[in-house]
Amino acid sequence: MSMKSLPRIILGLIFIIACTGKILDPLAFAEIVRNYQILPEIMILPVAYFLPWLEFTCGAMLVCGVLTETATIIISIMLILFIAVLSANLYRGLDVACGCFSTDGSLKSGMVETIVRDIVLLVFAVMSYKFKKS
Amino acid sequence: MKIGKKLSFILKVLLICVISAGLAWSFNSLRPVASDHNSSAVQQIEIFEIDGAGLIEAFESGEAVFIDARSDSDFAMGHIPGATNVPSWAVHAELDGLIASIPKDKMIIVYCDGLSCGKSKIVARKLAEKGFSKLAVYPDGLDGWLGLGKDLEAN
Repeated sequence: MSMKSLPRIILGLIFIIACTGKILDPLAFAEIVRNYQILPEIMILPVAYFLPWLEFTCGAMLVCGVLTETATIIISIMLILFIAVLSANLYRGLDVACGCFSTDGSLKSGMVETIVRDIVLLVFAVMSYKFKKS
Repeated sequence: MKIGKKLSFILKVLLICVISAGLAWSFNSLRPVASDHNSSAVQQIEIFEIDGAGLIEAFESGEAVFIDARSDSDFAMGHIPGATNVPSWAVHAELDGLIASIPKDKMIIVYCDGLSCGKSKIVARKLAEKGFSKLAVYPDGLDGWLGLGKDLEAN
């Protein structure tokens, strides 16, 4: 394993860890998704059931080195969406639970810290993509 | 060549999505989760918006329960006198604990900071899901309360 694989594997592991709680309790995650007040009601349950598994699949592919380019692009798109949604909430003054690593609504991480963390993960995704290309 | 590459990329994205959807379906079919998603019942409960005059009347009559949907730290700094704090992020056991002492037959008025704040609607919706039926939201929030010349209570 070369050093160039590290960002890809770290990113993959982070996404696998992040999705575990959401996979185990999709209804609690649905509650957090609803709190964001962005999706229409009809889309909340499908997103709550599908998104954690998309995170898992992409994370597992990055760790295993399968379809890494596509998985990195999907993860980057997810991170950009997360940053946009969190920024929108920050602007609207909603201090809802992030739902990033846990479905516990009482775990409040600061919105700004969460956005910064997602930007760092996005940098990891870009590094992973560039190293793959090179 | 370029079209072939794009097509290959789209097929790979679709493959990942199909694998994810398949895993989600299989996992949740094998381990069914009891759904407590009663949004249709919630949609039948109308959440009213109350104006400043209505708010003052409800406050002075003492017949309404005021719910502050902001964070506990914001609540501690100042809130409508007698209000109960139910932060918008509260879910499950924590939410149940916070609302345990609120009588379900009373008028509930939920507020947060002001017009740009969506927390009061989140909490009102959660209360509707918990069986509260007399629900109102004060959209002007704490800004409106202060604008009416009323004082705050601090913890």
